[in-house]
Amino acid sequence: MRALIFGGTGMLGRAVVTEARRRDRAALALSHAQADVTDGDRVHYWADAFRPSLIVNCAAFTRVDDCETQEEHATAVNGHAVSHLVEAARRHGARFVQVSTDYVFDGRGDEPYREDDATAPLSAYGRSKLAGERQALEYEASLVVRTSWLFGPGGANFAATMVRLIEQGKTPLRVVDDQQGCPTYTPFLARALWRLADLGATGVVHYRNRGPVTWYGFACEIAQLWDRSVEVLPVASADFPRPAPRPAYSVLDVERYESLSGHRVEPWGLGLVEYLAEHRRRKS
Amino acid sequence: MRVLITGITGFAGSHLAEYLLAEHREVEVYGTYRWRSRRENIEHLTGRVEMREADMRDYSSLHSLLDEVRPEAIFHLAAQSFVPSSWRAPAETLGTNITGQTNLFEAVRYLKLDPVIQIACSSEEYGLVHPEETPIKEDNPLRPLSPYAVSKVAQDFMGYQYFQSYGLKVVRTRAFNHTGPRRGDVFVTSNFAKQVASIEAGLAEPVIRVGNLDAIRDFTDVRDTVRAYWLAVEKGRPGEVYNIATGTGYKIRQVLERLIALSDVEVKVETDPERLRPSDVEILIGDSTKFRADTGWEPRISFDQTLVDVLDYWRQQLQGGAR
Repeated sequence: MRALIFGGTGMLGRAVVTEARRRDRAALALSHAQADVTDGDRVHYWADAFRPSLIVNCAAFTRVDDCETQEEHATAVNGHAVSHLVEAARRHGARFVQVSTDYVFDGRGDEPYREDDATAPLSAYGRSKLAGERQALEYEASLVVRTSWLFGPGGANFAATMVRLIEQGKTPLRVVDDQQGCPTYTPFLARALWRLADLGATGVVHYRNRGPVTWYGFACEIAQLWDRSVEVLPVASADFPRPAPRPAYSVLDVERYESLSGHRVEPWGLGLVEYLAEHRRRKS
Repeated sequence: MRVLITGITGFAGSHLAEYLLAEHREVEVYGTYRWRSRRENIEHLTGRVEMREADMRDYSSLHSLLDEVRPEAIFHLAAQSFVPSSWRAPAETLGTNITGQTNLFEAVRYLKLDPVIQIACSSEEYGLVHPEETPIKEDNPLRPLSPYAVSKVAQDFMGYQYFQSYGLKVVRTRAFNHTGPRRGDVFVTSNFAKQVASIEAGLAEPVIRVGNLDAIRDFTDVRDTVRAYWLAVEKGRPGEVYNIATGTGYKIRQVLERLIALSDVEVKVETDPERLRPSDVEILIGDSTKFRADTGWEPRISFDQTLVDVLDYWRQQLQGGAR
């Protein structure tokens, strides 16, 4: 398996290439500067140069609030660009993996979302990612993996933000307690993506880490591990108005992943311990 | 961003470190040295670059270095880079250059790192060039004419192979001749400049000893070359190979004449058979269109300016009684 990874130097992309190296697979992970996915000629150049048997798309415009004011750009990157990648995969007979999001659901339910549940994005980001899924699923060898609340080394994420606020003494932390979901550690997600790719899975699969929690609950765990003296206070989303609406409940059902792969999803707490230990080591 | 420069104590390495510190403040510069390396090229950068002891021929020292630094970009400049030495001790040159790079790549792979790696290949790889092939493009046949050139062909192809086999982000640069202040006095421009400066200072007879004056070379100022190395990492396409050259050739005789013209001294020129290489490449002029198109690079320093700076460098060195 030869993997060509777009968005390869972002938080998820670097985890995917690290996992590839662990598995002794050839993997070329390209940055946005090296391979802008909206540039079809560039995408084809790279596919021709590296002749992949797997293309993984980790490139995305992920600043959810900015997507509201730049929906056209969001749709170009998260939606339309996927057609170039699919076209390249088709030409090379390669499998295609598209990473997607819990934001394709409206979050008004109270049961974990299954792969075939109706999508109804609330935000421009969710709409653009749903457009990307549809482009991907035009191709029979595509796999769409929806995931949620990513954190890991090498990128902006909630855990990194909490640690920064603690270090800057901006405490107590005030965190919303009325959105529920599941954090996901990028190295665990990367391993899951490779497992699914190796199995030749197609269609839509949900993957996230184990243990639904609110952002407040997640922040409490981060504070507990980083600095026990920090106080965390629950607040309501209404007190923190943001441009993009968030799904209130975005727990994804992972039964399909678990039965396909034969592995249970990992608890996010394990990832958090590893992430913060590494973060501390880098700081010192 | 953390970058590692192998061979930072060398000529190009020291200029690259200087360039990064001056123009890219966001970069943390790490460099390697061997326990016997001369450090005078980077003395003025002490405290601003992180120096680590490592020998390219020793896998374990590279492994622990990379594990500590985890660079996002590597400039691989460490090499036995003097062509005549490669005639006298071919196995040493082949071993240092080929095994050194193998160790570097394998350590990157083993540690699951994913840096962009610029490797300093050379115009010497083209070797025998027919007149109708100049200016030389990257797809010109490689007909190496020295053990050094063979070692660089091996490094070059190894870069391609690791890109294809593992997806290592190797960008290969084939720099044509480059010179500037701090160039070792075994290289032609620097050698002539040093001889001129020595004569000026009354430290030598007014005789300049020369080798083949009819060879034609394409000289880039080293400060333009190292800026090209940075652009190769920033904007180059991994897996690709790029010529770095001005596209203008000078006969070595012209170089000598210009240097003499920059001085007031009267000199006699004598051919020294010791300075004739067993199989010298007659003409090397590079076509760097591909590199310019991908990165926007172009040389900024004129050759005359370079020669002035090289001569001034030697005047200062000799005044300081350095050698």
